[in-house]
Amino acid sequence: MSEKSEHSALTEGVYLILISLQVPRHGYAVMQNIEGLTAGRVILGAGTLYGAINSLLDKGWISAIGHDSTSRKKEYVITPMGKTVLHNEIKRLEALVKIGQEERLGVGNEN
Amino acid sequence: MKIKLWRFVIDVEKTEEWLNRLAAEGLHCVGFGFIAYRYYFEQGEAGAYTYRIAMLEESIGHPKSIQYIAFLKENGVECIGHVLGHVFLRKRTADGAFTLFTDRASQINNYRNMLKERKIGIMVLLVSALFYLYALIAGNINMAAGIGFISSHFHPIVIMFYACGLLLVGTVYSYIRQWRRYSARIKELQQEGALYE
Repeated sequence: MSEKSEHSALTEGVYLILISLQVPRHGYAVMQNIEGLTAGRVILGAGTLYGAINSLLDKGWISAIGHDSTSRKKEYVITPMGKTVLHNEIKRLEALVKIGQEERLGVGNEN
Repeated sequence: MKIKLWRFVIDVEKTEEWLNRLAAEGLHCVGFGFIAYRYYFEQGEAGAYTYRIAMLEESIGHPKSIQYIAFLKENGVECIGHVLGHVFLRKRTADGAFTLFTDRASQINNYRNMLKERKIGIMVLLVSALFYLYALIAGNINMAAGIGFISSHFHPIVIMFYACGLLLVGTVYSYIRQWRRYSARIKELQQEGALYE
């Protein structure tokens, strides 16, 4: 994994795709899951999802696992490398939230 | 019963708006002629479909394009045809909003592809304009000198020639406007990108 991959922030779309692919899902199911997780705030377009899935496949963060037995749609799942990236991103986000909360408390105390 | 309507595609976004306006009235495009000037529609439930015209990065027969269209199909998007590197897509409105590009990076990438195609288009059109100007000047000189069989500006061939000239000027103007529009959008998205992820 490159240094950039380890330390760069993921886009919101990629983050949510990796979260969604902790269980095997096809493209449409990923879109629906993301919409559900974010209560409709984030809706991924099919073109955007297609580009993201291809980039994630190229990086080896997800893999294609054949077709769903009922719908014949291609399914994808997160790889161990993708899990590491996701884990690092969650830690990065937690650190950011912590900084935000501490600073906000600081501002509150001054007032 | 299929209904035929005529429209010459110059501005893709305006054509997309036109298709969606007709779809909202219950006229759903199901295909078109060779260079997308003749469109076929079927009467149906008002607003049943949403249409999008997308630019392909590769030619329609390229494996990447085939894979992309197959992916869209898996996601409930139907491809009704293609012309000059663009695919005409539709999705049932009941299945949710139909937007192809929803994040800044993919939007910028899409506008860049469209910009690239417009740039090539403008260059081809400008070369055509040079040939047209040559034919216009040579034709007028010949006419003034009484050479050839055409002696009037109102000859059907001359009228057709002038009509082609108007179409050429209109297309170049539209392409330049689209080029400026897409450049402005890319710049706007890049500026937003400096503030938001």
